[in-house]
Amino acid sequence: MPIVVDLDVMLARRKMPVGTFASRVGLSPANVAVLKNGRAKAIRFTTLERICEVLDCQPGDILRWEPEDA
Amino acid sequence: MTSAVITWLRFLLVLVFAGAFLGQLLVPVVAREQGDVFPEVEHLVVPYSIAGIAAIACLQAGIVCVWALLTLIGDARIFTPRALRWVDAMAACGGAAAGICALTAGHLLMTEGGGPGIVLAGFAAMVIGGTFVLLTVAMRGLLAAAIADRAELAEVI
Repeated sequence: MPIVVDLDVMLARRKMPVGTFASRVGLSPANVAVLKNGRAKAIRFTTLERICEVLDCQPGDILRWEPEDA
Repeated sequence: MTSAVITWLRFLLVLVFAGAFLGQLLVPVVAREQGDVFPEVEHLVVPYSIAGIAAIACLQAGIVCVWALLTLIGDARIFTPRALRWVDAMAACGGAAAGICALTAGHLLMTEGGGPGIVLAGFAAMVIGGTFVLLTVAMRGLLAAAIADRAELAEVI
């Protein structure tokens, strides 16, 4: 997947445990794991909004595009 | 879908199923009476009774399929591939019932003749059966599209 979710980095920067993050964003731990593992295929803008709110960051801090290896 | 609708529909389906069973009991009786009135078709009593009972059995099998689909709706599992199999079975039951009716009417016309009533009955079976099967196939397409949409939406976080 050329779109990378840098959730780990942001969580480490904010020193926020995954469980706290999940409950504050309102995501299930399973879905947080999907996001962190890079297995997510789509994300709602409302989810993205809450993540940005909780982590006090911009969407660009979490999502990154990487060119696919040819 | 409210559970009241499902409950009432199940109740009515039981009535239809019971009525169909009664019809199955009546088919040989009526056929025997016809055989007594018209002795020239006496040899058709048994095979046509079997055809009639089989056609009604197809209807009953269709009711069982609807019952299974209602169970899936109640469990909120209607948008799963399992539902498609029941819809397929339901369409097949309708097609089989119509086929039996049309073939029986056709056979009667070919061997004994039977007048416009039998021709009309044969055509009615084909038209109604064909409509039912094609309508079911069309709605199956809608269900398949809904299943695909549901699966795609389930991956959105």
